[in-house]
Amino acid sequence: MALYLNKKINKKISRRKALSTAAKVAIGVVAAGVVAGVGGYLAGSAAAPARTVTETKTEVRTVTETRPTTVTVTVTAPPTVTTVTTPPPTTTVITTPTTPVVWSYREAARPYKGTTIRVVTENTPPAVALKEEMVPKFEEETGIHVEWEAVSWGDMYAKEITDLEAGTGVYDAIYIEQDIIYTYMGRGFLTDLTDFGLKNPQLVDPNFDPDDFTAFGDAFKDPVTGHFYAYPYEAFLKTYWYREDYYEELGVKPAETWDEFIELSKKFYEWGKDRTPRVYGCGFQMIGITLPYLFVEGFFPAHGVYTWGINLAKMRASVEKGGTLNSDRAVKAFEDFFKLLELAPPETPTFSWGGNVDAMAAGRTPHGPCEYSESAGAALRENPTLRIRCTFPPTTPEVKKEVAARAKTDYWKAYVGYYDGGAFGIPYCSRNKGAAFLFVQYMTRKEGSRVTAVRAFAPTRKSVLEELIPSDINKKTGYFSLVKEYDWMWAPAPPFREHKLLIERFYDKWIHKIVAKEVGIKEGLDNLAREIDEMLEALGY
Amino acid sequence: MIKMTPKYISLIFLLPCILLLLIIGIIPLFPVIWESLHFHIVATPTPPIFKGLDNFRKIVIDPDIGYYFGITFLLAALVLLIEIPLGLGIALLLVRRFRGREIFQTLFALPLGIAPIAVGCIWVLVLRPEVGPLIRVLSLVGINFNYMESFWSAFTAILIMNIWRWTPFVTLTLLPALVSLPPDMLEASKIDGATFWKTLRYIILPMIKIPILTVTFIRLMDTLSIFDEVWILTGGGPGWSTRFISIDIVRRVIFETDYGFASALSLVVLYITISLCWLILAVIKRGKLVEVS
Amino acid sequence: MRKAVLISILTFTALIIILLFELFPIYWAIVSSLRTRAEIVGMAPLYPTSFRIENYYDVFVKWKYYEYIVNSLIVASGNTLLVILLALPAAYALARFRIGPARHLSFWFLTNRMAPPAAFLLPLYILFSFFKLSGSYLGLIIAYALFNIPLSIWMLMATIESIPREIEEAALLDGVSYLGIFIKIVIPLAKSGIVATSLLVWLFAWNHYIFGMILSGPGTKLMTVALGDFALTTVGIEWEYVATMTVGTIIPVFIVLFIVRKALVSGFAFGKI
Repeated sequence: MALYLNKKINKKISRRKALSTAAKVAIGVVAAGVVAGVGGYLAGSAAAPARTVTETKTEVRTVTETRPTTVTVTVTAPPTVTTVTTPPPTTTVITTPTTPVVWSYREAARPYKGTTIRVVTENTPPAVALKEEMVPKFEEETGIHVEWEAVSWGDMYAKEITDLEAGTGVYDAIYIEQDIIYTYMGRGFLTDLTDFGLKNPQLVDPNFDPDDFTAFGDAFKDPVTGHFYAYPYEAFLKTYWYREDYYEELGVKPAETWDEFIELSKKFYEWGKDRTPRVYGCGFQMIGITLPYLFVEGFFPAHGVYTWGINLAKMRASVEKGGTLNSDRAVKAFEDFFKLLELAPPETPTFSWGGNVDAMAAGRTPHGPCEYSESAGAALRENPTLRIRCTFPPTTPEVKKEVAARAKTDYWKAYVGYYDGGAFGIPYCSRNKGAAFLFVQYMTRKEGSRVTAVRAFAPTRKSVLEELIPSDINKKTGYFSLVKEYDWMWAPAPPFREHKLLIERFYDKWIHKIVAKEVGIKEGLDNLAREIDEMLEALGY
Repeated sequence: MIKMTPKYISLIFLLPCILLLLIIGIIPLFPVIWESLHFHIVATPTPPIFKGLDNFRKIVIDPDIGYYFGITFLLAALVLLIEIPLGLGIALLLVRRFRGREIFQTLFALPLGIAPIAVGCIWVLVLRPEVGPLIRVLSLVGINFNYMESFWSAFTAILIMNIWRWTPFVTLTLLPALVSLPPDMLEASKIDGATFWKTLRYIILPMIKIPILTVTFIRLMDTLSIFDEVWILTGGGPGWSTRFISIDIVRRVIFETDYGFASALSLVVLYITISLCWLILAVIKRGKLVEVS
Repeated sequence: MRKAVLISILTFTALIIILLFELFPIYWAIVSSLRTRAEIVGMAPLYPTSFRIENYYDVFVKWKYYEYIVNSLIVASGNTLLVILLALPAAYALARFRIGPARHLSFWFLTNRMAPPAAFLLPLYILFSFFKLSGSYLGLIIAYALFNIPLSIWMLMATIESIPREIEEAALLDGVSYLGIFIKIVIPLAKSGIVATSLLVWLFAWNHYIFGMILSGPGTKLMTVALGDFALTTVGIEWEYVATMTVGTIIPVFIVLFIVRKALVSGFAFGKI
């Protein structure tokens, strides 16, 4: 205490000295600023090379590659597939070889035999599945050696961004999460895969059907040209999962609207009081950054607040300027959330992404409105006797109407939940693009998709879904049927390049404040929308 | 040969250090100054826009930034208030030679060698409701402690963690100074009939003024830069309530990629550091510290 | 007599309690690292219930985390070497010669050490991107010098100042050059101080996280960074491995501390500013 007082006294005595020192520092700063103008610009531009935005060509929307007239391909992975295709004439400039060619990875990889490509991805179950089943086959077939790095998300992101920004060409194939694709595309970090295929027809796998991708594939296309910038290898819907055995015991059906869902949760809360383990009403992810994602990926769309409340055409969030972020629908989303929070187990605020699924598996909660299907798959793998099933998320009646009314491919107009997942892309600075292109195709073609679908609940291809409909796991959970028939109702993250900035700085802060009851719901949303609009304006939208 | 005068020699001896610190400590500040005058978010294709001192203005008027600085200083103040007396007290207990003192000192010093990030991990293992024993122990007494439930619970957890980690440092730094006090002075005061507290206040403390000030200074600056442990334990949460200033800067740089604002913040923090150092040095030099109450 | 005994008992009790408080979390981490996840999550008791040393095998051998330990070793040792090489002459110059700007130099060094590393994050990142040093050993070794050089200079200054000047002055009169004095006289006499400083510098370099978080790349990831990433996984935290890795980060340090316990007990001169 006295220390502090003495400091203050001394401060007064030596104020003159303080001022002179401050003046010296200030002058120094100004002088440095002048030097900084030149030096800083040079260093700044070297550190973060601003790449131009992707070209806006008006090309014919053909995403097919050139193919020889007839093709017979035998794939070495079971089941063997023999396909004969007669493709329609293409409208690209590249000449079509007219002699029939037997295409195989082995042949196509001949010029790259012995090269090493480096791949970095997140250490998720689909990645593990691919590593164990597809990578060895790839290496054996092509003679290309794969250095596979599967690390945590933060690690992977740091490695990718360092490589991409410095253009060092360390990685030849990188994992691109669905929400970062726009940032990467916007900064010109990725190779246009469709274009690459057109320019290198000898590397294109004729059995690789880009149209076979589920609706999720559209998330990795340039909205203008329709070209792929990455090929998806894992995709999962965020949806309503529930404990079928609990539902049977209570004799209830899954809820369709939020009000029904809340009533159901209350029922479970009462019913679960006398059980061991104690069953609560509901649960969701809440810790740290998972909370804003819960809203933008789950509660908001299911209440009719789409694309994070930001109007895509006008790029504004507040209702006055055309957005929906501080609308009544968003308020209702929070109100419903609070009602459910009362019924949630006390440790819910520490739940991470799959926290509630873990709780469901342990029997503590009967259901969750917005769960990652990936987590559900993992829970099933750990305990195959677990009885969980999925269905559409609970929605407001308006959402139902709006989703039914829109065109199937117009996702962002109205959707029920988040289509999560990731893809492989090739950095612009990779030095082994040919080999990487073969790799990316190999991992995301039908055989690869089958592996991730079966082992990790992350199907990306319609043909694979077809195959899996009659499987046991589909009968049990209903997931593959749901994806096949209805995945068009879900939407990937909106095309914001500043995705991370918006979530981190605005949604995270304000949603936590609202949930902690530091501000009222409307007030918090108003502030959130206002700040977002300010930022978007400053960014030039 | 050049004249090897002492001045020259000293220059040559100092040059490598000065050069290195110049290159990594001063030169990079130039691009940072440039960035701090711009609005530049790296993740977007928007090119940097010159904004003059706007970032600094925002720092001054933004209440949230004020909050982050505030809790950082609050933590430092509380840490100092608790750690220094506690460390001193333990050191006083250790002055007398007794059997096992060496073992105690060695064991007591163990937390000092643990990386701050590992400290965070250890405390997560202890405090987290799912895995920690603390919950169970406290629930016996009827307290349901979830350290992430509110600002104060998280703040207390961080405080305790910090005290746990650094009190040995205070003790082991003050101990040699205490031990080296001339025993006759203490004897004399005892003969004069002074109580323990009076001895402490008027004799011991003034004599170990310098080590105490040094330790206080180091602890102050280190606590103001706290990062690793909090990053793991709370990540700035719950919500943004334990977002100390280092955590704020790091989040802005890595996740928000707002280089402009983060640069301005870094410069402000550096300026505060320099001012604080200068201030404290002035205090020490003047030796105006009369008493500690 | 009674009073003295009472005080002794109280003191002893207090010290035991304090020691237990300090050591319990470490104990808990070690115990957890030897358990299975089911045990950890399932509220296992305070005493060790299993000895699953396979956890360590999993982390360090199967997952190749020994690479990270090696990386940390390289960077810490490299940095120690660099820092001592640079700081020793500088400390000697500052301790022995009257230099005009010495005060300002000292102050500048001080701020380098006292400033929050987070404030240097962006400057260093920009600098290293420019020189393409991101993710290299050299980059990290240089970056750590920012706070380690000031620290060493103080400690070495204190060490050198404790060497009586007469020896050097005598040598001067004998016609030995300054460089000769430095190498042949000062360094051998300051050996223990140099060793103590090196150890401390090595410790700080090994334990550092924040610069490593940004500046260590794919091939040079440090143990601390690996630990941080692992504990911050958002998918599902594997507690037993977190504990294992934590212990793995601590063990090398404990070994070093054990070796220098004598130096610890005899007190480190933490330098006068």
